[in-house]
Amino acid sequence: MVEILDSGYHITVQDRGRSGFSRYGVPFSGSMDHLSSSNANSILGNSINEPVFEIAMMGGKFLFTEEVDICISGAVFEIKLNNDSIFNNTIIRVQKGDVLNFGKALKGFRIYLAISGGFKSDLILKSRSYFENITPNSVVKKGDRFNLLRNKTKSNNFINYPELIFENIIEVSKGPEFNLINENDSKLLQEQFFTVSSNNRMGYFFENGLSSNNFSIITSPVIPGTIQLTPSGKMIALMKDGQVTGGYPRILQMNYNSISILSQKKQGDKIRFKLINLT
Amino acid sequence: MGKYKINFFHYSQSSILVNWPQSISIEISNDINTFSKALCNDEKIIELRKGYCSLLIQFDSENISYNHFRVNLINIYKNLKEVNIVKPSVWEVPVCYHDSFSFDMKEYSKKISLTKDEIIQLHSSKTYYLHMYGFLPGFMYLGGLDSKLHIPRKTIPSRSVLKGSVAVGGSQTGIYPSDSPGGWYVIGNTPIDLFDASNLNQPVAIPDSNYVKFKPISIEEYKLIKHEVEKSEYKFIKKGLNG
Repeated sequence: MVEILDSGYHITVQDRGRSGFSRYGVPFSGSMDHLSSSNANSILGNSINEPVFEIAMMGGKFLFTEEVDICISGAVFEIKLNNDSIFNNTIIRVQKGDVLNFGKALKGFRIYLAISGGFKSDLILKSRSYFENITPNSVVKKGDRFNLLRNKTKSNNFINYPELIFENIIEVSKGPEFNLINENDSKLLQEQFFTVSSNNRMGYFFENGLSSNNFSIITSPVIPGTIQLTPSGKMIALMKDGQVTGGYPRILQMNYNSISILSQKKQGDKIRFKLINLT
Repeated sequence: MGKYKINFFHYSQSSILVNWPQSISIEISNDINTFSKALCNDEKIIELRKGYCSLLIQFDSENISYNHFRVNLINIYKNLKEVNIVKPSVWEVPVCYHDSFSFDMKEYSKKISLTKDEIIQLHSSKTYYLHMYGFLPGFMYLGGLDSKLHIPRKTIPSRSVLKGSVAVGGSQTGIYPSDSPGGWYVIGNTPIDLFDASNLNQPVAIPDSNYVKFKPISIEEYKLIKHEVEKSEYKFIKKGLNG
């Protein structure tokens, strides 16, 4: 079993997300940085859909009551297993009574903790990803306990581009309403750096933006990675818990890997968009 | 044969946006539903997201290219047959417009220059078409609000709108299925549950493409229905479209 001694700033359970229920207004959810959660799982030989703990910004203390292999991947955190430092993207054997203690994120924003063979959590609408009013809890709380599952693992472990998430280039394709923006703004979009002002699992917000406008569209579908332009000229990048429909123009669409890259950015970080063609 | 001129947009690595003529109408909604039904057995399709006049289709891009998929869609729409869509019903949603729930009624009444009684009368006499779900799990996009009830959304949204709140904003009316921030004017509350995440086959109470009608209830009736809902004894009242 693993017990939560301290719930940190924001810890949730995430798998690859909930698909097939958006027609009822249910968002995808799932790991914000799927590259890192997949890496944590696959290094252990888990299925990449095995749920993991997503730990954002700072904090979180986990007590293990039995011996098991674990792996952490994603942001670089101050982190101690009892009194020892441990590192991302390696298999770590924890013993009965060990305490894993997360401090601050030093580089990046979200780190993933996977456990060999997985752990038990509620399967609701075909996913274990936490989401308010869908799963019983929307965040992991102090005192929560998770039984280990000991599912069979494979041995062909792999890891994909662990450094890619620290890039600051966000690859985007044109959204359906891209053509609403003027030439100058279109140039700005591709040349300027944009500074993250705040973020949560629903979206990323930026300090600077484009010129204000009075565009509006009839409420239409959106997906994670859709970048909307609000009337003030500021942009909202919709993330994994983002709503399924929206009424702001959809000017850009991030690709999968860029959603992971943006998920590792925090307040004050700067990113740049690179326009690509979908093939 | 599909009725409209539709166009396609390569939306993401694995999704395609289909646009109908950009206006809100029951006919377009029905056409999107007919098209969606024709697609539901296609195993290359992962998910459909519906808008008022568009459909976003996530497809299995590892097993089919965008261009192939697009051509398939064009052919399916070309050969679209009018299917016997299940006849829609009018679902009665009880709403208590009492002061203890209608937090924004005073301000709303002043802004649109109608009395509370006139608002309740107009709001509960219309039949609304359920175009789709969005915004929150179980949030219905309802079409057909009387133009006298239209109002621009609040400039500063409320931080917390109560579950069950019945509200108006822009040219729309809707019900908050859970506590949530929101920018619409709250004029009442329904005691019934509209969303149940434990129901895998049909987590929403009212299927889309049906109609909704609000029935004014007293605070006593509200308490009674709330009690029935809690004991899972509440039965929806459904009628045919023409009475």
